[in-house]
Amino acid sequence: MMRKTKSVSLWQEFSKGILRENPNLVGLLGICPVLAITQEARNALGMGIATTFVLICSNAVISMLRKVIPQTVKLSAYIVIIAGFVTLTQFLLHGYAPELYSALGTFLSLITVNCIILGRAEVFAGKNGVFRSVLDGAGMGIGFTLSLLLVSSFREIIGSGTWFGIPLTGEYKVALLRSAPGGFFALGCIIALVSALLRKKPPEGIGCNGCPNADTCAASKGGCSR
Amino acid sequence: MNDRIKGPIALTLICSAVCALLAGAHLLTDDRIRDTEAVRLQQALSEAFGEGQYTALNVKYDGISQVIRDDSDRLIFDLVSSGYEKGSQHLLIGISDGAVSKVHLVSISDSPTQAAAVSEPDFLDQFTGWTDPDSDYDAVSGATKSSEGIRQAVARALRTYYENREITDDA
Repeated sequence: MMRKTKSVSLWQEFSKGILRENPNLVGLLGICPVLAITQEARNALGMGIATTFVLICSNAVISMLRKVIPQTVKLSAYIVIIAGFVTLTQFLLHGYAPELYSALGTFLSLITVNCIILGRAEVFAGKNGVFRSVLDGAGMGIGFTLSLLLVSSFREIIGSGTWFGIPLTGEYKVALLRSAPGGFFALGCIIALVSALLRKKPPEGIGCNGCPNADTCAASKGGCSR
Repeated sequence: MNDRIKGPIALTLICSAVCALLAGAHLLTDDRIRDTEAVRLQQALSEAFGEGQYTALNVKYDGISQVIRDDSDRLIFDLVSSGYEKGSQHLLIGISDGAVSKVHLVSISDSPTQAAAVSEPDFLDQFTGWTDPDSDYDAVSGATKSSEGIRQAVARALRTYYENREITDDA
């Protein structure tokens, strides 16, 4: 089904990714980098900016080429375009920000398989014009960067007693937050906070009744019976 | 045009355009990356082996980027090894009197947690004094491939040293 873009203003197109449809905190996509590189706010900001750059560029190019890319090679073409921009980002960071390049390590290459980027290419850029796709990429990228910053600030301040490397709390720190389980805990707390702010209601039912695909599933052979 | 023909043509054109973009980016950033790496190597040499005069020897061995000699005639092997990603570890391995005197990680692009684990002196110092490339070592739990990459680098430096000892002494 084609998305009705005319009813959505340009501002709404841009701002939806920042909070209402935040890819991390609402969509729960791209969780791996959030857990992996949020021990320090500085690295999280760098990762956010790199991902936003790739999102904007790949959305723009995919939107430009959406009418000439055949359906049969759509996914391969998207991956090639995204990987191209990720490699370009690697060259730039290696040359101009070598410390950030080393700090992000293998997660920089893994931006290629970040499901937010491929998701926006498939769901939005492949069906909409260039300008709206750039706005969508910018909004989603900023939303992703903000969520990385929130989680990393929480972890760095409480876990290491610093923020962007600036000493804050001295000896008072909770080392757990620097570890992977601490990352899950911090992310869970922030998702709960955002859900409360957005007044999101829990699903009405568990199992088939609560599943948004229940109708389609029930109609197919071997699907759930409602 | 049939999609079976149009698809590969479109994909070939996209791949060509991406290759051209990356070739251009490589040309623009290559010199800067080389300069950055040279500065980083000099800093790493000073940090690991102290301030002094370092001379790159005019020798070429498989798997070794370069061999450097310092003021005290110690040989330092500059090499790249693979942890969780191919070529993710850049190391300096000092060998004097036939034994490893120092292992220093210049850079590592495995995950930050794995990188931090194998950068600990407790892990790297266990290689000091090695004379046998096949000696036993303790890998770091959770960073097994990163640990193995470093062990392989130390073993490669030692083997190169023993196999070419006369050449490296004279170079």
